[in-house]
Amino acid sequence: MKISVQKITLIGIFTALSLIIFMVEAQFPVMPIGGMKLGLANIVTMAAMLFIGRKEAGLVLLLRIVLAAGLYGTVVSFAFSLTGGVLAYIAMCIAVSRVGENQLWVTSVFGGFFHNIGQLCAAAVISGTWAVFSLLPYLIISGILTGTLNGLILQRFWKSPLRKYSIKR
Amino acid sequence: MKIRKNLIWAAVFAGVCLVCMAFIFSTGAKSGENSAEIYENGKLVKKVSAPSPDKEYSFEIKTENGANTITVGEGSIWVSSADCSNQTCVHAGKISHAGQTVICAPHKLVIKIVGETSADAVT
Repeated sequence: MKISVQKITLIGIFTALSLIIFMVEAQFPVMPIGGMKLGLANIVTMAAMLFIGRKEAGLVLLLRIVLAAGLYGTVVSFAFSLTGGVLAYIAMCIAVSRVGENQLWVTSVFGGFFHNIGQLCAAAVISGTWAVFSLLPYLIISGILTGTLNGLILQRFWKSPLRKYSIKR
Repeated sequence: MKIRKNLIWAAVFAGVCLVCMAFIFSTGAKSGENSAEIYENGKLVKKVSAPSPDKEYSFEIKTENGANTITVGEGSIWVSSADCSNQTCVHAGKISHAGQTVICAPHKLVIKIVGETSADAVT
């Protein structure tokens, strides 16, 4: 596979961006229920999906998770990020090509939703009890709300002049 | 047409949110004679019954991965301190309703409120 310089550069930029956002976000205290957070780094994953392509967005996501875990995470937090991230990524890959230009935010909602489902599954496996699924309704709501917010930010970003740097055909 | 599609999606998501909220209120709103169960690695290690409202006491749970200090009082239970890496369990705060949980993932520790109410339907 030949990979263009443009592609490498964009992957690097997006990875750096999402890592910074992820680390800044990690400094804020988590919400009372189940460690909810905004998941702003997901905006960058979706932006990578639109600007470069789906495969490359997966690469950006994986790089971000591995780097974040290597820099300050633990084995457990790595497992959490990975299950949530991968599930969200698959959901968004399926959703992104099926929604129109003006419904991009819907992709993000699906991402947020499945990210939380994935994390809950990881929590269930790690803690060895199904009791954690009592958090499910809270996490569905938070996933939808944060997903909507992130999606609207992304849509605004995608419609900005920066779009001319997109190399996706 | 574009606006209508957005509205449909928004309505779908709002509907899901409403269903979840209804679920939370129908299962979580009852607090009665509840007790808390503490699990380590899926095994029940301690059961705490509802204390009298004015008393407050703490105890320490030592897991193979670290220790959590758990406080019981005011009809609720919470993790007051822990030596885990992310402190999510401490930030989770007090729980008091059947079905609510506090999870300390790094220590594989789960605190769960059980009651004769509908908690079993959830778990």
